[in-house]
Amino acid sequence: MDIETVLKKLGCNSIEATKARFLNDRGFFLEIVDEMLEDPGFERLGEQLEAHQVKPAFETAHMLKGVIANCGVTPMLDSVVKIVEPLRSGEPDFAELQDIYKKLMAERAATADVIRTAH
Amino acid sequence: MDAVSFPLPSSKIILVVDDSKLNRLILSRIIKQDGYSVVEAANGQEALDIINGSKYEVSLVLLDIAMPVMDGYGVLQNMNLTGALTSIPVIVTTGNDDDGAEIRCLENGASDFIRKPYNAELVRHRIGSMLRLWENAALICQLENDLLTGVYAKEFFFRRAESELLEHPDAKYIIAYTDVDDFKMINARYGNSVGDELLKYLGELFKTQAGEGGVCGRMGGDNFVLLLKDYAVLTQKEAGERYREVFSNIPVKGFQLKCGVYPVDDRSLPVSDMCDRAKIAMTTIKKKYGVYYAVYNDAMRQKAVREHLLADRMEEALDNNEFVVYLQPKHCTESGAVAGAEALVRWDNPELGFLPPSEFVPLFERSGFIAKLDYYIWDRACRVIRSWMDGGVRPVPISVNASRADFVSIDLPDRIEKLVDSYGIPHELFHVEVTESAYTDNPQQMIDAVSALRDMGFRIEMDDFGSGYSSLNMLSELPIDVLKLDMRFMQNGNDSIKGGKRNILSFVVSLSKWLQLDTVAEGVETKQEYEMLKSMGCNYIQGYYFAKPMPVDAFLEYMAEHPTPCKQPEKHSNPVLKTSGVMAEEDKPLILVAEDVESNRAILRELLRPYYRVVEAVNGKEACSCILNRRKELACVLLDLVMPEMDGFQVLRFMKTDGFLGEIPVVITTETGGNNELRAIKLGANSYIAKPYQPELLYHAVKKAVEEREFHIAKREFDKNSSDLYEKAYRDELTTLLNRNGLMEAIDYISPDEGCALALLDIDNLKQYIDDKGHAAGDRLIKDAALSMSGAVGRGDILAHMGGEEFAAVLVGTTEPEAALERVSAMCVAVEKTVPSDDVGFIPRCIGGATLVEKTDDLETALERADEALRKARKAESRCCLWQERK
Repeated sequence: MDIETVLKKLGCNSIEATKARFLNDRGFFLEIVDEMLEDPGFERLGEQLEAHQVKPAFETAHMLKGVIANCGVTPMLDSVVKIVEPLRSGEPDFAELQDIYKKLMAERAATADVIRTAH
Repeated sequence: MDAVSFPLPSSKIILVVDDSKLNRLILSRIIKQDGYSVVEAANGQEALDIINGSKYEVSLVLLDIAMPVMDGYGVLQNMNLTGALTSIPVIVTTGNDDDGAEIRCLENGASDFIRKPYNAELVRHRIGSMLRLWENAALICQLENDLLTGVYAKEFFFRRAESELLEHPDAKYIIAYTDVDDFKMINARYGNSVGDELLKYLGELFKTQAGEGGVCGRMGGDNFVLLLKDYAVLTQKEAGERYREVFSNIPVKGFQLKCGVYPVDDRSLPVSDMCDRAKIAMTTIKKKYGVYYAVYNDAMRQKAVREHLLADRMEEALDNNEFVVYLQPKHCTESGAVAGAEALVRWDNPELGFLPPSEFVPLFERSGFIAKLDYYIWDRACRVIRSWMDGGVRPVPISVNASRADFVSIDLPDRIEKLVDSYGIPHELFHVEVTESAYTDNPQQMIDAVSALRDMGFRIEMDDFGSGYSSLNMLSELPIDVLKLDMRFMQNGNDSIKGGKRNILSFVVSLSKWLQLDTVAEGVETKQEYEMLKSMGCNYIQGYYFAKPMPVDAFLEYMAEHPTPCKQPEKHSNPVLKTSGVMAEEDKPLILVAEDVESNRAILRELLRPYYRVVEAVNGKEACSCILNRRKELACVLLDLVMPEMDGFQVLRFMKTDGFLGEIPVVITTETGGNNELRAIKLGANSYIAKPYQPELLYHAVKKAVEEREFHIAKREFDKNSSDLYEKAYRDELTTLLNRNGLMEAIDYISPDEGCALALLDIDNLKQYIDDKGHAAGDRLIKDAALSMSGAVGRGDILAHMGGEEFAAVLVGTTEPEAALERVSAMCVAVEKTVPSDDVGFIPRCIGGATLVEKTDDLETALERADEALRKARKAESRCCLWQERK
């Protein structure tokens, strides 16, 4: 499976830019996405949202957003943006964020499946 | 775009700073395509270690903003502080949603930014363009002529000077290196265009000075260098005269030019080294008021070499535990007991010897290494306290210093808390001393850090209060517990504290009391100073009068010898709540509760009554009437927004229109929701609390409002008092000239190297005039005489009315007897022409006595001599006499 096919399967909406970012190197791309998916920030974010810690949760979500954006996984990016923005405003609805977080984690699992197949 | 479009130099090193390993990996791969080498840092501190270290010569930094330990802003600030930003471009990497961050980074000195997710081509383009731009800038510097000033650029100056020296092997040369003190301030105050104009002016001036056979160049910034042929080295006096002569017409005022000189005695040196030597000489007089000229000598070089040596050894010294903590006791002023200690550092090196902090701390502050040393000292201080606790000794608090560089790190409070907690030490035993300079660097960052530290229970001491930018705004913004006054800043050389400065000291101690801050006076050396501070009510004393800094073991013994327990100050003073238990009813602040619902009023009444007096209004009209009648008394208004007859908004408008809002703070009480709070705040309310009331929030809001009002009142009084104080202390009311105190103060500002003459002038027959015309006419005559004398003295001279018919004048730059006699006589003549036209028949007779002032003379001695000369003039019935030593 070439990099373009993988990106399509992942729902990426900026395929050319992402390919260029990874120098069209499939191996490099898969390596980085693997690392991204294993980032402990995902679990940490869950805990922080549960504990209603606005600032730490914002910092974690913001960091994840940057990494996910670089990997070009658009569905995950859309979800994490929906977590970052209310946290940035300082008055988030945590119940709503928990739901989006669940969606994010489901997308993470789906991305992992695609990447596993691509390997 | 194809990769070949980026023909970039391959030997450059790019530093990638990002806390995300993945982002670093992606960026590195993109960058490496163009043959750059990449080093990575996971946070700001790691980045600075690389930039300031010697392992890598970094050509460009790609800097993430949001990072742990130290964020991107911290890195930029530190690079600014150390000057690294002038040689290394920084491109910031930001999210795609953060315009504010980008602007802030550019303001902090970043050269450009790129956004995430990275666009590979854009990243490569920006890096390539930036490096080319900086290389071009470097090339421009190497062009022959400096574009702005028209003098030679650095490299060409070196070449031209070298040829000049070769062509004239027997001629005598000096190299002069000049620097404008605080040039940045000129740019900041007047704008860059004025700064540029000044540089052009200086370029022209120096070209003229260099003349035939000389060479003039610009080293960059505000530094010029001159090779001067057949120039003798000047004495300080000659240099002072020359300075005035050359710079009398300079278009920008309020700056000083410093000049370091190297007499070319070793022609085997490269010209660049000669310039370095002249620069070393110049550096020794930077920021020294009134000193313009320094000649290089070997001791200066040795000092510079030693500084290099210290810088080389500092890292190793830290690893080898060569820095030793000394403790200087702080004593309770009342009981004399040891109340705490300040941790001070010494450097004990097997080769360099035992070094006092004055020898290495300024150097470490410049290099940024001080942050590492500070942390080390904090750690040592914690160990000491822990050892006391383990050994059954009653521990006293230790104060440690936090430097400007420490505040660059955003996690300073967390680092301190983590460290102190790792030793299991109560936070109140660890005091943090901060300085005014850190506040001026970045007020908000310091306020945040200090507030967080204080919330964690650490006590904050403001070190050296009064030494720099002492501002009451700073005191109102920074939540500190202690003001430390350094007595050395209150003294004139060896003089004791007197006059206005004593008043200022007393006022600062009173102000601290009012703000419920403790005061520590450090640098106390004599019993007289101790007694004075005690009488003023200063809480703690530190200084040689009690004890010098001593090793930790010696301090333990010292504590045993001064065992009386000293009452520790209460933590986090709370002016209202703390004292309410004993506060008389009439002393409690008065609060107006404007609220239409009785049950709400009852709750507020009950909650507030222990600490405040409460008056109530059931509608807006009653509230306005109360505000009008009790304007002076009211400390705060608690204002409901929804009320019959006149609502809260109308009350706010009334208060605004009639000017009450600046005087009486208003706290809005409102149901949450809607945008009422915002509307009220926009109308001028200070804060709001929501219904149902939460007692803690209510107390907090009211207390804050009351404190704010009291602070503003105190500030107004302080501003008024301090300006009155100065006026009374230093000015003569009748003539508006300086008085005797003012003369003594002003004379401190004359450089000892600048020669001067001191004259006493007397209107000899004033008494007769007063007898004839009365005191009012006498006063008019004195005023007119003062005016005439003001017209007869030059700019930079000092004129004072000593009282009665006596005046004093300091004639700066008058160093010859004849010139002194001539100038004083001219002043006497001017006075004699001041008789009002209706006073025909009376001619005031003005006589003068003068003396030349030597470098070693103090003012009192000079005044005695001038007085002796004045008596001589009176006796000889001559207009003016000069003091001469009796044979």
